[in-house]
Amino acid sequence: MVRQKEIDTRKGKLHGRNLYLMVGLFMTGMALLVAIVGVFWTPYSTTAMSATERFAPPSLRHLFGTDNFGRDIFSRVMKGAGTTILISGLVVLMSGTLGIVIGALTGYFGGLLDEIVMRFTDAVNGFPSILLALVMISLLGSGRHNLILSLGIVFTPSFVRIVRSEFIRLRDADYIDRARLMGVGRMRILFVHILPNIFSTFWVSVMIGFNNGILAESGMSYLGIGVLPPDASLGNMLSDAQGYLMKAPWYALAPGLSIVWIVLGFSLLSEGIRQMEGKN
Amino acid sequence: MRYLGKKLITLIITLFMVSVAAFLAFQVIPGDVVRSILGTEATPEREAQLREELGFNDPPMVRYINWITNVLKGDLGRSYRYSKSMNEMMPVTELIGDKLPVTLWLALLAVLMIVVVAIPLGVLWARSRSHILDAVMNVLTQTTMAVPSFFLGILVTYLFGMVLRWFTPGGYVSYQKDFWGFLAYLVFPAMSVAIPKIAMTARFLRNSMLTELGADYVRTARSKGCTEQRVMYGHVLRNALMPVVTFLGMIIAEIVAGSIVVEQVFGLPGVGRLLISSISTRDLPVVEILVLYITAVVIIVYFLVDILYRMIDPRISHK
Repeated sequence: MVRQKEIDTRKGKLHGRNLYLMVGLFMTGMALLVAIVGVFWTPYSTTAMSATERFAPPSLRHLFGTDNFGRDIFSRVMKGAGTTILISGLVVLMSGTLGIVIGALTGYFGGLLDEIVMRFTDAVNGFPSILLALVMISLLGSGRHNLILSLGIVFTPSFVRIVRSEFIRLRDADYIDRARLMGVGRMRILFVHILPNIFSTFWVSVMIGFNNGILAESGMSYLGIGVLPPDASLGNMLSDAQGYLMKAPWYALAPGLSIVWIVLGFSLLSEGIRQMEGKN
Repeated sequence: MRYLGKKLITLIITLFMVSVAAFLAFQVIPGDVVRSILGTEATPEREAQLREELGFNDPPMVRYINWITNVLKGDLGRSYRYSKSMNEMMPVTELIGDKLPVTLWLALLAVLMIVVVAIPLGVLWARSRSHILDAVMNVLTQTTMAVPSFFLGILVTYLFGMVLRWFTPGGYVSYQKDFWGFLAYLVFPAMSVAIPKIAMTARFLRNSMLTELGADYVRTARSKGCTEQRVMYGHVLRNALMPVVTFLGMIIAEIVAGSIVVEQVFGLPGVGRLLISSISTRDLPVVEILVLYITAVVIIVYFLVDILYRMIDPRISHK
């Protein structure tokens, strides 16, 4: 017999402590710290080449070794992680904001507009985001700004969906009825009375969206239609590194494992938050 | 039967909407592409002539109807970039023809791997009482789910291609030449697509089984004297597999997308590589057809999953 308590521990709660949350916080904190430091300072210049130090294996001098131009890979990973995180952050900011506005309006007011928007988001949600982003890129052209714009648009429907369902859940709540009776304005009800109450659900989807953003950005940059060299991004570093896999496996491992680290950190964090919410 | 008919009509309407969307996105919004085909030094007469040839002078409605009837007849338009001879643009059909099977086989192989590996794995995981195994599986699946397929492809290339030498990276064999050699090469890219999804599916199945284990019917089955074996496989697994079918249907789209990226890693001449190169060169007719095609595949797969789901679970038809 599997008892509820056993199921609980098997779902990641160890002795009442939320292991996911702790590990997730640690990994995410580290990643953000390295990326933010990378904006202001890196051990070596990210573009300084050195003919004598090509393909140096990882050492104390070069933590992750050097690449085909003798550039320090650790420095480039710091910068690249910053680029990737920044782009993904902007994508989530854009799609999250749009999602809140559209989701709040359609969820609260309903009606024909809601019906149309829902059909549309249903259709879009079924498709792999990378394919939609590729379509957008093929229309807009590649490059950093277009990448943010297209991913931002592509990710919006998933946010609309979540925000909308939360607004539908809350629009008939007693406290909203009272607020209406007291003569509170519509916009105030939407954004002051309802919005703060959906944030716990919203945060989890923000984190999932952020992770999808990291994966999409690095994937597109790997394919050569996202962030273009000489700017460092984890994705385009990987595509450079692939050519030297035999000679310098660390060149591919460094950016690749960094992506895994960031994504894993955020998914553990979101899992941890979900469990914390579940307990209350 | 009525259900099937209703679903079929929805399918057709969806496909129609998608074709309109693709047409608007690739033929109306980008506007006049004549200059980008001919370059900036073409004479105005040549430009006007090409514009007439491509049908740009017709109203959009007429253009859509012409285009869609051609597509349905099998004439998929012409590439702006690839040319067959000096004055003839390459038909998209010829460009895509031998690339489709590569992508389809890759996706099929990946789906097969997921089903064959993930289901036993999920069952074993749900059954085990060992906390150590549980912790190991937890860490393993969480980590695997965080690996993007193209990085996994690079790892697979390094491990199996360079260290173990089980295959030659870049040594793709065409399926027309040697089908088994082609499949043998495809195993590695398929692996890169499948592994993260295996982790996801196994996790999903295990959670689904743990939830089912708490249900009343399990207690009833046990109290009437069913063996643990029978409770697990006869009752729990059957019910737990239901959401997994839906889940698999949902990730088919991701598998197709994963194949597109992984083709690039392994140098497979499939639809994905053509799509990426067409996007870089802004060869819109090719992109348009590929997107339409991939979308149609995804929609049809969803449709089939819906039907399959109904066949497995008779309860749904009563709702």
